[in-house]
Amino acid sequence: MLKSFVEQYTLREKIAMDAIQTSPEKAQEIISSLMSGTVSSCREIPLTQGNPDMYIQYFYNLIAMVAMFGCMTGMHITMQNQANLSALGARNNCSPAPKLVTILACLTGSFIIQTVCMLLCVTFLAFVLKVDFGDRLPLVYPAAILGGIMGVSFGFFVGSVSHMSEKAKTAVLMSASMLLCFLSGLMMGDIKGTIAQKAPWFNNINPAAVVSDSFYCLNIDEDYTRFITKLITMAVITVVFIMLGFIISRRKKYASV
Amino acid sequence: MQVFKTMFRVMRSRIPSAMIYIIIFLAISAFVTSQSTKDNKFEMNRLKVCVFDEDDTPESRALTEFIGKHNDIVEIDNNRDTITDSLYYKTVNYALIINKGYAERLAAGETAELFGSYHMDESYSVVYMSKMLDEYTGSVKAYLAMGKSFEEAVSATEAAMSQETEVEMFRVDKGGDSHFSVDFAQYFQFMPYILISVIISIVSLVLVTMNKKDIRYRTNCSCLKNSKYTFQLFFGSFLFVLFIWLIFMVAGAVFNEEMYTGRAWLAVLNSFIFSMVVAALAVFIASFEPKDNILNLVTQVLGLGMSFFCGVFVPMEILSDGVLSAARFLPAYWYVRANRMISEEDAFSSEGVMKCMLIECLFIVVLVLMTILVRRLRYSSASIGSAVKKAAA
Repeated sequence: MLKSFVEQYTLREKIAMDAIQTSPEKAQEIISSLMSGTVSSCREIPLTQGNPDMYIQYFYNLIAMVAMFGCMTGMHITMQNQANLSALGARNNCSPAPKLVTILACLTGSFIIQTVCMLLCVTFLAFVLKVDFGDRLPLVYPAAILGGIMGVSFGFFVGSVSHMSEKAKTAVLMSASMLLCFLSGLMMGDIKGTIAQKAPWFNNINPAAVVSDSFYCLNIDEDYTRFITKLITMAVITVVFIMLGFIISRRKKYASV
Repeated sequence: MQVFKTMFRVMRSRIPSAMIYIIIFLAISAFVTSQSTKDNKFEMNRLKVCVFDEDDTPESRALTEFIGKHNDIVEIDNNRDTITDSLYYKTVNYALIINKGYAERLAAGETAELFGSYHMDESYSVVYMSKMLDEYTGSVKAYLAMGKSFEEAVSATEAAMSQETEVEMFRVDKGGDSHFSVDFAQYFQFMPYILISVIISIVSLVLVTMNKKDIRYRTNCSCLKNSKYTFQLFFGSFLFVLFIWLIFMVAGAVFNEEMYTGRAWLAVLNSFIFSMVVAALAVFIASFEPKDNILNLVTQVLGLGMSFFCGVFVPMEILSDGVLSAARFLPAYWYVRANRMISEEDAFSSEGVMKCMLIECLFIVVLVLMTILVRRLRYSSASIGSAVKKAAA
């Protein structure tokens, strides 16, 4: 700032000297027009009515992190359905009830629990910490809930992929969700912008980024197009994870436990 | 050294899950350090400006070129969403539109609303650029009034505006100590989360396993002296923590592309003390003999909680005073403070750094004392007696 002030001063001095040297008769007029505040040459076009504070996106990412941590609930569904990992899993596997029904029931229960968590989380941020989500707070709730459901299905998918121990699964899921949250800007606010420049497709498939982007679009955009796209993306990712989870866990046989 | 060997046998089975944390942390650190610069000199910030030239005349192109001399011209799609995102995430600092008819109107001496700029929020770059544009148009107008032709006026303005002011900085401003740059300090700043996750989840787990009732009873009735048993347990834990800490230090030197020098050693010492705090914390938690899932929960709550409260994940400037005063009761706060002082993000004073490290050491003492207290209470003959009676009943 100081540098630009000094430069402004030297620039005006130079113009005044030039004016005195080249056309002394007009010098007074030119100097006074330089000194008088002129109308701004630049008209500002506002882009958003929302909250432009960049720090608020740390809170978006915090909600995304809570949503992604739903994966731990999702993982426990698989723990209860893999015979080598828990007694309950062994019992479930030898019962005549179809796996699809058992797992769907578990998934529904987990979705309900995660929904309650997300409701609490958003309510706490909005009403206790008074975080400004723009003027469309009621829509933040469905986005957060859908994010939470996506988190659970992510855990269900990763849990189904392998028969690792609970510890190893927890480590994989925690690291994966922290990595995804890191890439969505939980620890460094500007990382999402960098990724948007270098690999824009990644922000569209990173679950944590999709959740935080949905809040961002709700806050910044005037229409709902991008917000709805983000919700659809979340729904699609959720369905893909659940389908893959089912495909992997079906028809699994245990010779001995 | 039977106990010592058994400990490492148990640890070996838990190493893969710890390695996942370590590898991911190192991968993120490699990414962060590859983006950083070690330059601490004063440099006029080059703004990232995108220009949408609707006039497309030699004059407007000359202006774009002139802006490009002092700033970086970034090309992005002329699409409202892209512009909004770029301005929000600061990949572009200023989005300028040169309106149609710019050259004609400026030649006629009009300066009002020659440009448009997409506006996100009031920031330094917005003020700086709009001032610069006002100066530019004002100067061209002044030279035109002197009787110069439009081309002459533009080139005279550019010459006048190209006068650089020499700036000499008398204090390294937030650039960090030359031995320990702010960017490299980031590596140390994120370390508490990973140390807590890895050390607590492994050391506590091993200690809990070694302390299981049956195994403990068996050890107690062996000829091994109790003091020897405790020593081997502590020695094993210490070696493991040292090993994990060494991995991070070696990786740090690799990312820094040189051996630690000067003040960087203070950061190394600081991280070592913090590792010991976490080790003491792990031993303390283990003395409660938590179940596996409870231990998981405690690790996550401690790791994430301390990281968010104490300025590991979120810069300390953003945290409110209330949060920071609560964070003073947690060791990670003092670690981060010392780290910030060493990198000169906060004013450096060797007493200040020493004070932070001493407080961390005090945490170790308190945790060790509390562990002894808890173990005395839990394993005293009275409590074992009542437990046995309960079991019998």
